[in-house]
Amino acid sequence: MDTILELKHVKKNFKKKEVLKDISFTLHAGEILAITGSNGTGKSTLLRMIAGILTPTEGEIITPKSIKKGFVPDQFPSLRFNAENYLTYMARISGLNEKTTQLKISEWLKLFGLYSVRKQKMEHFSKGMLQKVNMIQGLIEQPDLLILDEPWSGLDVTTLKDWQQVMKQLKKENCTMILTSHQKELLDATADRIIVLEDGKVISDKSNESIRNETNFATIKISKHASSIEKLKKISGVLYVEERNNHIHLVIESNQSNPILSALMKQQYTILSFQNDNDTGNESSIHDNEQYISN
Amino acid sequence: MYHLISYTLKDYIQSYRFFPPFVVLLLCIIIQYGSSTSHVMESYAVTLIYMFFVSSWICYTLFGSENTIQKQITLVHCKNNTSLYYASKILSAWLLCMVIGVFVVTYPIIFNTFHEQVTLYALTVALLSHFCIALIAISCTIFFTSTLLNKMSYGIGGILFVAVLSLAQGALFEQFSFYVYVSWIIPPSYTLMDVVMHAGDTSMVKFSITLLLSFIYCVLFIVVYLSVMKRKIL
Repeated sequence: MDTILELKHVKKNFKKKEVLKDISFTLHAGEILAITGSNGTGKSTLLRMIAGILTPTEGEIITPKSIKKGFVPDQFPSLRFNAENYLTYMARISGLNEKTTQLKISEWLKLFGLYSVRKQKMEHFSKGMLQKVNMIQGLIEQPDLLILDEPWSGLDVTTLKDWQQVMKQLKKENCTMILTSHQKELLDATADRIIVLEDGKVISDKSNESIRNETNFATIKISKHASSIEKLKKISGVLYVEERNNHIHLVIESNQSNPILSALMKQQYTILSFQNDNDTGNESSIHDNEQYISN
Repeated sequence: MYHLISYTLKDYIQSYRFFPPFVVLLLCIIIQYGSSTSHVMESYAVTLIYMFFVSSWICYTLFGSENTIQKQITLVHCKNNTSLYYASKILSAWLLCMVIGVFVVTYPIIFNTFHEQVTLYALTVALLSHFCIALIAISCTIFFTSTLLNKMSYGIGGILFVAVLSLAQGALFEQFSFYVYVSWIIPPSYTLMDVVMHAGDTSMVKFSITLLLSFIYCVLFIVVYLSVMKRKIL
């Protein structure tokens, strides 16, 4: 397998603050690598360095010279351009010719349901629509390495489903993807490999399959409560919290079930269901993800 | 490069940040030519001062007009070629200033405010000198934009300091003897203004040499800026 990206002992400091500490890993063609970890662990900084926007303080980031990179940042500004104009500029700056540009833009705008609003100024777009334009600009050049920072934030369920199809298609075309996300279920469904960053260091670098085999998760469904989701996320052993259909779903480490359940009861949450993924095997968690995407 | 310039200009024009400097310039010109009829080259020497400030203003706002996230996206699209990216911004600013330069030079001709006929030579000297002073202003201002200085007050202060040093070079030469040793680094705006002011007595060769030296000065400053931006660790 061809190596698309190699990081050798990469460090990044902002003034005196060490944001990333000795990061090393290799990425092969066609691989989907997810980087996860809590806020402020340096995920976005790492992606920006890979995209070439930031320079490492120490270490090396090696990519083949001819490689085409696509970058989808986590926040996309509401610009004064109309969507079609903006995408045309980005494509032409990338070096695409006029004919290919028009073809590609129409194709992507139609796929993401933005064709009818292509002449509208992006400053009137919703967050989800902006995120779609953001993704199109990243994909327009047909990149060999696609860098996605929180690509699923602000997307509706239908677009998420479309986006997963796009990712599958890109993988078939040997496009390498590196992404960050907190959405564990989506990472499980898409990534080949997951790196966990904590305090600027890689604490885990494993294939998704091996994670599935070795980690046991449980899902707790609770009633909606005035308490914030952020508060729930802080409970030790809680991996992921999401509000869905007037309920709150918590993905937890199954060995932490008892203390988490008692903590929830103490906080007067109504526990609607508890499912240990071991009960039904790994297949059930994959099925859940698909169900989540199609909901 | 063409698409990058076109994108930069469109983004800047849509931001309307060119509006305040243009309005100020328009007011200055209306006041200058409104009171009485004027001499051709003396008037153009004065408008060169306006041109310097307006070009600096436009350059400063153009360099800060692109959204930070969008700047990162644009840089990735131009293959992280920072030289290409910043060179396109410099050229965009210069192109815009050239349009303004044409307006400044043709305004008194259109409104017939000169009490003498403008010769083709005078018109050529006026246009080229306005284009040249715009480039001088831009090549100095780039070092004070948000790309290198985070604080706006430092940037504006720096630009004004350079402008005063540059435009008041003649007076400073007389006041301070040491000034002659540092004059080579000061933007050649005063020399250019002096040549334009005395264009009637100056040969085309002398004007061309002044223009050429000013251009070389600008290119050197721009090259230094681009290499600084290439090495700048973001």
